Amino acid sequence: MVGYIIRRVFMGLIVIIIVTILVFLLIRLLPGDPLLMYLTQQQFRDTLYDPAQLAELQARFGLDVPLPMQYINWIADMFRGDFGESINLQKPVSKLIGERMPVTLHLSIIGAIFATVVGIGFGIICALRRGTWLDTVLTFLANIGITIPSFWAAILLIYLFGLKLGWLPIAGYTSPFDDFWLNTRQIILPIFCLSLFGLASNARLTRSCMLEVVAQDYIRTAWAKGLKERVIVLRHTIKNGLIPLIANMGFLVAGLFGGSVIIETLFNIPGVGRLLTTALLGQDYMIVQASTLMMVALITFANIAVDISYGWLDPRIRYD
Amino acid sequence: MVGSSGPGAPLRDTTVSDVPLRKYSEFKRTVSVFFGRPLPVVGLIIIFIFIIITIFGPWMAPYDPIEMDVMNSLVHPSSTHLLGTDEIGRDTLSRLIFGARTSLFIGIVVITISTSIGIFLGLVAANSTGALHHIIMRITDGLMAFPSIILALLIAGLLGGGLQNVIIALTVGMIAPVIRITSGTAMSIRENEYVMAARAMGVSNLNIMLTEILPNCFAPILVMMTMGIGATILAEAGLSFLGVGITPPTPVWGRMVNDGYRYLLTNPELSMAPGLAVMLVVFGFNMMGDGLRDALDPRLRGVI
Repeated sequence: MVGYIIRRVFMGLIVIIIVTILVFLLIRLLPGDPLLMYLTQQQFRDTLYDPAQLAELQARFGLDVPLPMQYINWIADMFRGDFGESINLQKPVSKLIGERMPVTLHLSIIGAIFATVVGIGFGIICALRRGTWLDTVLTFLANIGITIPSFWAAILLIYLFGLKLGWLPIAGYTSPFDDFWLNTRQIILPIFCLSLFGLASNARLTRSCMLEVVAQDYIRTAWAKGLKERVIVLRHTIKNGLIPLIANMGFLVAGLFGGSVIIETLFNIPGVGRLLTTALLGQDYMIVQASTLMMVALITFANIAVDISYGWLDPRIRYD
Repeated sequence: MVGSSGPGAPLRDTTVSDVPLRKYSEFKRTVSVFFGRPLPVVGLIIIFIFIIITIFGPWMAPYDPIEMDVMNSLVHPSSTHLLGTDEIGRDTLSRLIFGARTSLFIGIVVITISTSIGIFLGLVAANSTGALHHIIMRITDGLMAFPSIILALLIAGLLGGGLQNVIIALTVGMIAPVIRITSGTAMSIRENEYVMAARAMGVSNLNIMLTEILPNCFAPILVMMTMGIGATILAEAGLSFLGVGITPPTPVWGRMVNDGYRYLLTNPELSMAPGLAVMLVVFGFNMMGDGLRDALDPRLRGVI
């Protein structure tokens, strides 16, 4: 088990290193020079191609050294907690991300819990009541849930609960420490939209995994032994049927972070997702590279945790 | 499959006992499983209608999708404008019909390119040992760590919008899963006896790849392509919803949802209709992919 954990953590670290290289190269090699943009944005239009000024800026942002050195400097700076400075907002990027990451994590964690509990619950109901109208309805809803665009689901709910019924606010975010009740009302719609895909895919996966387990010989043996239905369902079916769900948690986390880009923009929530979108549209590259990296690193850590718990629950995985 | 009571087991028995003279056809069996359940058929019908609309769109659309008519802006649905008009008087139904073309075009182009590159790199990775294998697979891991919408947003945002850049951005996001599936399938098939037999007979490595291994990757890749078109259309809608997609005035569904959002209270159909179109099409491709997987994957026979 220890060897397995070390292997997984090592693999995860390699993935993170590759991700840093990908993000670094994407930003540097794609067309569009951030410094020229910066100069334009700073209203130096008449001196746009002044080489001296460009060179000075290159030195200031450390862009006058070869690419591999730039990469090493960038990584070294990050270890010191220096993520660079935002061009548009004139603030350190570490501070901006530090302010916004808790908001995104708040939404994602509640969303993950909601998607897991409700999704697995629906899946179990479907599997146990297979072929009934309840199964048909829930399976159909789950199929809708994995295909519905999150922004469209959000707009439907805003229209219904925000504008027509007036039950919930349609945008904004207040810290739960300032006004817990208002915060709860504000995050209901975003969290539902964020977790819809994960919920539906959990429900589908739970259903099919449970049905696979129900067909196993040991379940037939359990029935033949005369065990109570409750014991068979709880101890034998659910416990074994839910192991593949752990693997789905990694996708769930990725989906929540990916969805935050759209949902936070739509609901005007000051999280990392909206920070990334506005930075991309405003060509604020320091923010783009730092916030992308933070999200992907968190997803990778979540995947390492998922892999380790998967190996712990299912010993066969450890010996691949 | 001892103890299973699904539809697969009796099916096999009847083929053996009742119709002994007819040759067993894998194709016929696949087709009958696919059409035996309602959802894949619904998916197929939706895709069929979608394709008809993209082909005959210009003759079906009642108006020019980019023609402005400020006198008739924000008109509610009526007999002249079945789905109303937007803030500069463009007919929503016509824009919806032309938007279908953009969606399907991007979906097919992106999936064709990404699948070709993915199969090639996947086979190379499966067939090579040492550095090359690890380089391809680790870059794949790195790409898979990105949520697909963030990767696409990053590339499209940095390249700047436009049809070509959107296609590049979405293609990069779709390659990694194809590489992983192809190399995974290829490496597991390679262990089978018939591949060893071919090798023992002196068949070349390349020939084994093309005649023994590639055909066996066909089913998972076909399923992935079908679902991939839906996923691409969804991602493209997300990109254009965020404003980094196809440049206006070309009608695209994602941007239509975003543009109509401002008039949600007075003209809800402006953002509802294109969103519903995205959902229906993605639903169609997903259900068809599901059906294909169940029909093509022998391990699932009788379980679902």
